[in-house]
Amino acid sequence: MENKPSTPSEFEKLLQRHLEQTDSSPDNDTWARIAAQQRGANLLLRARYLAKIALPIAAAGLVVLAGWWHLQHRGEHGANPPAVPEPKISPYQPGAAGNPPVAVSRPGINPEVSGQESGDLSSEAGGQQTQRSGKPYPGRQFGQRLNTVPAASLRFQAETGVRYQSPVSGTSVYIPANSLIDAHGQPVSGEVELLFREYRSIPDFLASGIPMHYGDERGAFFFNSGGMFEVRVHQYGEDLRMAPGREYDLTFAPTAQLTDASLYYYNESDRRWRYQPDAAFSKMDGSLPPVVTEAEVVRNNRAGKANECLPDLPLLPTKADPAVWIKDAVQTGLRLAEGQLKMPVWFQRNSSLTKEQVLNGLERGLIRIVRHRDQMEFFFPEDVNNVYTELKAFKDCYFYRASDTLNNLTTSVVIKSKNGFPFDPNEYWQRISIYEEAGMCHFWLYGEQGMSEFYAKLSGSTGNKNFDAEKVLAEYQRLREERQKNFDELVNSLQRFIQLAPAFQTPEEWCMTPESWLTYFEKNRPLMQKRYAALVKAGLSTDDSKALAAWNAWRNRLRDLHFDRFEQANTAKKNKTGLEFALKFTNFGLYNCDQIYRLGTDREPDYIYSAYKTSDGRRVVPASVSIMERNSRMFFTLPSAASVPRLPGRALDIVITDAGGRCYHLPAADYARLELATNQRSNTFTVEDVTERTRTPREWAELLEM
Amino acid sequence: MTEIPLEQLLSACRRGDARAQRLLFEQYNTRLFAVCLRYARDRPEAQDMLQEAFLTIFRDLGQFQGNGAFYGWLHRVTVRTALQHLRRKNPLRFAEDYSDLQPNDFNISPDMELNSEAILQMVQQLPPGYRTVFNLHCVEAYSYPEIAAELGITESSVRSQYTRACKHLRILVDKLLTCSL
Repeated sequence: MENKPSTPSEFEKLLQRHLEQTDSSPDNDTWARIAAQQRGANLLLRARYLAKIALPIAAAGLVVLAGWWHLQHRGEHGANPPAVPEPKISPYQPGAAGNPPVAVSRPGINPEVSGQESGDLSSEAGGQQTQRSGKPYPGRQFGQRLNTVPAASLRFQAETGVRYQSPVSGTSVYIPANSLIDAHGQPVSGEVELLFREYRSIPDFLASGIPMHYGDERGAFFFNSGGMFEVRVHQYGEDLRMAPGREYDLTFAPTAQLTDASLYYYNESDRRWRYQPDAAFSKMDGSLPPVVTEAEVVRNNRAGKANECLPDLPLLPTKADPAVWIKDAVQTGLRLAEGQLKMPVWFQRNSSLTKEQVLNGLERGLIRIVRHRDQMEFFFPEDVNNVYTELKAFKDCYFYRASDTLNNLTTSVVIKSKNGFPFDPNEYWQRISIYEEAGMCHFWLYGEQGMSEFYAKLSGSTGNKNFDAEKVLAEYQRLREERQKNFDELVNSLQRFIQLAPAFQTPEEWCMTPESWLTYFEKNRPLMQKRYAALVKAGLSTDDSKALAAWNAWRNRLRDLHFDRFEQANTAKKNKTGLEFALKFTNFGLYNCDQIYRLGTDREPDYIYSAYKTSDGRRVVPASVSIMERNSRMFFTLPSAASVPRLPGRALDIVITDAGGRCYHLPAADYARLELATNQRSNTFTVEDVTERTRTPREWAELLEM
Repeated sequence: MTEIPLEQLLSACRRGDARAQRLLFEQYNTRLFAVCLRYARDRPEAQDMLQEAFLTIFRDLGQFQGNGAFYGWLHRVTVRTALQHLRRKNPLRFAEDYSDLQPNDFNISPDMELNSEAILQMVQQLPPGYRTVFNLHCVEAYSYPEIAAELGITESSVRSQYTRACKHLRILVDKLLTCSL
């Protein structure tokens, strides 16, 4: 058997050389984590070192002492051994039943206010005060960035325990007296510090960097969170633990009523979430948490929203001018209210379709090919619905299929001929295009039955003395472009109108679906006329600065409503779901109340390998990738930063964090516009560096307009 | 700042002196992290490996007798810890067969350049078995029988995994060069 290394090839040498040149530093907190784990081991090392020095001395001392004792006591006791003194019982020693020592103080009696700026929070028991610090507390770092989600800090005596209730969320924690031990298992006494932090919104999740995905033997899943909480107790900067057999209580009010929610614990050693079955949650059968569908997630998320009736901010394209949108929306609203513009039925029924969907799906005519009454081979296209208005250009003209044009170019349908005429006059098509190609007309017909293409020649009718094929086709082209432009503008205006309608609606109207509101609009035109006329009078349909001011006011109002929604709802210390879970824990750390799901209904979406760069060409190497869909309020992180899901048309905000903690954003509107071919395996996304604008949850909310 | 002699530094580390341990960490973390990156699937896993490696180094520092280069010893401990880490995560992974692996299963960004970082990324994308065998043979210069003994797999398996790893890397490098033209 060969046991000597084979000679490396040039290629292997190249790889070896490059790999040996790899130059990358570990994260800044690596040493802190090593030091934290090494602390206990260092005590042993010190003890071992001291033992090495002390043992020989101690041994020699013992020999001397033993000799001395022997000399002193020889003959005094004879064969009797020396008496052993009775052990003394310390006041805190366990009694006969082995019960732990019990402190006389009541829980939550005298916790001190943390010495930071005053806050608006108070604990429930004994009128104690604590605070939700505006400053980030330098606790655990879950991602690549500093966790800036505010935490409440509270000092209390370990001998008394503490009861704390967050006035923000209503979540309460009760740590019993004398239940804490240090890293070496020794009971703790004296002043300790409770740090309590909740993550209850997408901006919180983003600012924390907490991974929002889960995996078990069934594969990987995404989290849809009903809120997370983090409880830690410290003394002199050291983490404390619950004593064996002791538990602390936590009553948690989730942010949403999630179907089949479960509890998860974040294991900091391997940075993974673990399912923690808890009797407080409905389904606890088996060792694996239940999985819900994406549709269920969206339903759950929207159910909460329906109660609040808070509209989302419209997703404007990246470079869109909000003033233009406001002006157009107001003008269109007035035109619709006054009846100058008739509200299309397709719009009233499908107002939430994207512009592309409207343009592709709703531009439909009712087109048939009509034969000349005398000459069998002559025909003309007719649109009964008059959608394809450009067909007017062929007035007094006919097409005929000469012998050299009789073969269809392509067809997915059998063209039925009738009485020698090569088309069935009773067959209707939805779309038609006619292009001039080398002196011939290239027909393209599309309908439910399929598609057909063929050539025909254009000719004037008998009475058409001024027939000029070139002019007719040019007029057709002009009318076609005009119609497309008008349709495009109409779709634009209607989309702007419906997207910005909530800015001018009453809060009661916010609770209507777009379709039902459009019906309400049609039935209450005088009211709507008054509303939009007032907006026009205020200059919102013409004045850029006023329109922009209206947009900013609307955006700020809505953002405040969204951001403060949770806190407002909890001023009465009640959560909207009415749910509360009474939980008992033996470990401090981070917990998550979540449902887990996978994307897609029938099957998982495709993933494409993704690379990222900034607009100035700088390459971004992702350490983690977060995905958010604002409308469905889904937020999750991807288990692998190497790829992203291909979900064409869906508005997904993508947030990338690199190893250095810099954050980059691909706006939802840009993702939705991407044309990712189905066979495309990879894509380079251009992202914007938003690190400096996203230091806190509030800044995340502002950036994402939540 | 005055540089502390290595022997003095090691002696302080053996006594459990946290400041000395930190100095040792600062002196060697970058080089050892590069080793971990080669064996890990990604940066977080390399972080974990580095962390475990330093804990092992501090624990076993007493075993370093001063024979041979200190960095060589650190390197060996780090590689051994990385292998233990991988073995602990999935004991069977070194014997797994990925003969149906396609070049398209790899992420090659069109704007990637052929440099150390790109090659490291390619190596990281190899299945764990291929990656480990490749690193041990190509970079650490272990012989096939040594690798087989270390990983507990047959020598023929080591050979085939190494050959396939090289083949995949060659295809990826060619692909990258074609992309960047």
